[in-house]
Amino acid sequence: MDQQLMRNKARELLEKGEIKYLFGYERCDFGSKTRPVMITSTDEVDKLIFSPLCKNNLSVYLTLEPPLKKGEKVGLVVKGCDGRALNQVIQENGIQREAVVVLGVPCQGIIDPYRLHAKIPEEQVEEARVEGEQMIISTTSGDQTLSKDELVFAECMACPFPTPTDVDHLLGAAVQGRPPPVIDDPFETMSHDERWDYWSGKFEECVRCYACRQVCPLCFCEECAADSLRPNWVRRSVNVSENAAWHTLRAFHLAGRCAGCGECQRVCPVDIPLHTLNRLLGIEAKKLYDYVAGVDPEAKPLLSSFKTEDEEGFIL
Amino acid sequence: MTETNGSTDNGFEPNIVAFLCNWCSYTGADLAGTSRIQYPPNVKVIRVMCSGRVNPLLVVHALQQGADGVLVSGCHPGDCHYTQGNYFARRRMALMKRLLDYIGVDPRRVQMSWVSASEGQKFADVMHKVTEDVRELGPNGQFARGVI
Repeated sequence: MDQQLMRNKARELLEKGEIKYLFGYERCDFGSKTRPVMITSTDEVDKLIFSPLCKNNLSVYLTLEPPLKKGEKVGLVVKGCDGRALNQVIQENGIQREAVVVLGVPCQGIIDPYRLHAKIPEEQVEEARVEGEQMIISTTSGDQTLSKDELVFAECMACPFPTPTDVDHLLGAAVQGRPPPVIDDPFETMSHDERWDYWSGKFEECVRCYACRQVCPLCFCEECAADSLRPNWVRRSVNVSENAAWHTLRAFHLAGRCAGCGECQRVCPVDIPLHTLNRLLGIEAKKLYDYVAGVDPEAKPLLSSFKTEDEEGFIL
Repeated sequence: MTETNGSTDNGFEPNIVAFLCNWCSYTGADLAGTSRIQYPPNVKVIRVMCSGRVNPLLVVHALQQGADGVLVSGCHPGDCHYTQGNYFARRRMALMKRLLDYIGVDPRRVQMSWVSASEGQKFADVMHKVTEDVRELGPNGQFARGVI
């Protein structure tokens, strides 16, 4: 994507006073890393970048930042999945659509740093860009061309909505979604005991830092059930029982809401495959109720609506 | 505990928590009682005003607190005293059951049923079925809290 297009648009919006500030991405001081940035004046606009290394979901900042005064607006750079998360928050009245100016970036897939650094050492990578199905990685020793499928996150390989919808300004040409692949779920063939052995082993490692919650744009409750003392849903002790309850709670509360950005899994310090649980419930919501989170800001949330003919084969 | 209807008798008496809605299932249980229909004493009934009041986290909480099985029971679709509470409960429990199934909790441990106020016999049958299912599965060692 043309960086200049985004910078010009941001400058225009800030100059006209249409937005108070804007959330975008900038380069980190070290190597290839990028980080979120809050642009408050036109002097800073040239910091803005977008590349396949920009993995953060910025829509979380809208609910983290103190609310603006009436009439003031925030600019926000969104990829496809971030846009869906934003739509979902708007659908639930977490923020008002009028308070955001959305700059949509058609996304070609985001690079998984683990996969990239397995091929090219972290300190050598400088930048990355997409050309068709290839990723061009600029390194200290020249450009390297790698296939996109070798580098991007698993979620991106199956991304049905790479182009954000319901945006104010779309920067660049729309990208076609990929057809959802046949998901080969290893858990389907496992017995219940094997599944529990796997998941309890993962949950046992959880340190309950709640990074997965903090980074999630959909976890915008003022008081989280995990923090509540009355009723005390989940105790604070860190053990398999409480951790399993916490992860069940988190996944369930995102049922039919998760936009699939995968941030929860990315920030997990002990690498619990959290997104697998969210994806499962997303698939179930589609299969049982033909509901996809975040595509229609006007739709009713999955769990606060019903159809009389909903599936009930499981009921005695 | 002299109930001997069970097909499996491994000496394990399951502890089952049943959330029954006030208007149908609880009244159904009452009818089972007044009609002298026998059902297993393993079931601990918690009366709630509607199956839609049962937060799926309560199910997880019951499993943590040492229940071997959980049943949520409400009015038949269309019969809800609050018109639509059981429809919401149905969606929630379908997803919660699937999630628990995925992380390794046997779906027979968490069940849902529709029992109306006139279905005393059905209530007893459901209780037999759930008790036998859970008896077969054995004690719940998955979510239960350790002894502190």
